[in-house]
Amino acid sequence: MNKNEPTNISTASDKEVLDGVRRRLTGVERLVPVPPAWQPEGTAAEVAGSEGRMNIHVRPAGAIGLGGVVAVTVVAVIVGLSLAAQGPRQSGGVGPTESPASPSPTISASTPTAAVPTFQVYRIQEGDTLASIAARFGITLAQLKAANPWISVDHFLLVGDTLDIPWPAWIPPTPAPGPTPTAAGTFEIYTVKNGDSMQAIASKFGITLAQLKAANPQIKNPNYIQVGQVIYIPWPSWVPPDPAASGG
Amino acid sequence: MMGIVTVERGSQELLERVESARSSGDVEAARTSFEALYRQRYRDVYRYALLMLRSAEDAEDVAGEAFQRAYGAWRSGHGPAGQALPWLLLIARRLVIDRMRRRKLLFWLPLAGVHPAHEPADEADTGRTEFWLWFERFARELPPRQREVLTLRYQRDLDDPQIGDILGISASAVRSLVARACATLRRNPEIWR
Repeated sequence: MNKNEPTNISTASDKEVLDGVRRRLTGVERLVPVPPAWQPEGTAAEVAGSEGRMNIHVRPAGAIGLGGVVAVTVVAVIVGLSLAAQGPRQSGGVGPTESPASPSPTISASTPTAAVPTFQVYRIQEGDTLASIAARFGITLAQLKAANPWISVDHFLLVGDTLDIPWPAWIPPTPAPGPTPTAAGTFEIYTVKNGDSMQAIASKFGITLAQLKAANPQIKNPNYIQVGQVIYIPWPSWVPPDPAASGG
Repeated sequence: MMGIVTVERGSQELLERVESARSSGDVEAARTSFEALYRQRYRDVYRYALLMLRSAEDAEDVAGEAFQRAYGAWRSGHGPAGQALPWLLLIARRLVIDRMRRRKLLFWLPLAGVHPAHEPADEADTGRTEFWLWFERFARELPPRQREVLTLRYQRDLDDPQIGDILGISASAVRSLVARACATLRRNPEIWR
């Protein structure tokens, strides 16, 4: 009874088959455009609404409109990148966000109305991970996730998906649980790179592990840090009390 | 202003926002919160329409019109009962079926609507053509409904009852369609390997 040619039938599980199809289907992502501008045109919609028929124009007329959107998005991303690159550098050596001793003029000057969180759109490229995107914009993974609550374990991130990057990238929407700066405490912001450990970072900056831990109470498990995570390095002017490691 | 926009995430929250704006008669608030939903879900609707109709132009029309209708329905008080995505896809599906009928099923012919005369110019175009060639084979082996179910399951955003609602069948019917699709695909490993 080999009417179905059993030799040709794969023994793969349903999950394997479906994952395979899903993987091949991701090819469609490069065919899916950025949403064109949404323009219901308030007054027109009002008039049309009274007639019982909506007259809103979701699609821009012709390719120029779409091109404009793409261009603007690209510009936004570029501006975001340069801002992200400038941000930590400008604030380096000064308090990370809320140092009362030396408020950073660059941060406060460019802080928009803090009540309205703004975002910029980033399209996922090949090879991106959430951590790498967060690192690129100088934000933490937690901030990125907070801005994109639809991301879940069960949800594939696909090339071409759009993420919202909190804007300006380096100002956290909610004050991050950073170190509590005492007296003249200053910190350097360091972004974790591949291969780093807390110990490696500490020795890199010539401080002890205990000092580094003391400056980063937000890190629950010092044995587990992630690429792109922001770590505060206590600058030599401020050395936290360190009874444990007196030997240095 | 187009690149940098204020967005509130989470369909459920958006739904509540639009609903409250609508009932309070605040046109502007309804518009901006619906825009956020549009930005969040446009690609899902577009992708579905593209895979069903296999034409970028048609997919764009359908996606645009679906949101237009959704917005109209919403403003007149016929919003979704639960989540937004199944509701949007249901609207899109009706439009897709309309279009299929209008085209008299011409596009089921191989490579119709994919611009057969179009020659790949660059790498992106080659990738596009590759995808469509694969999809042609996929479509040849699987009947339309099985294909549609796999398409809807692709993003994992929808559960079986929701897919059933979109297709007008029960959740167990969805599962049996998937099982049949798997059986077919197992005989054609080159499609999914």
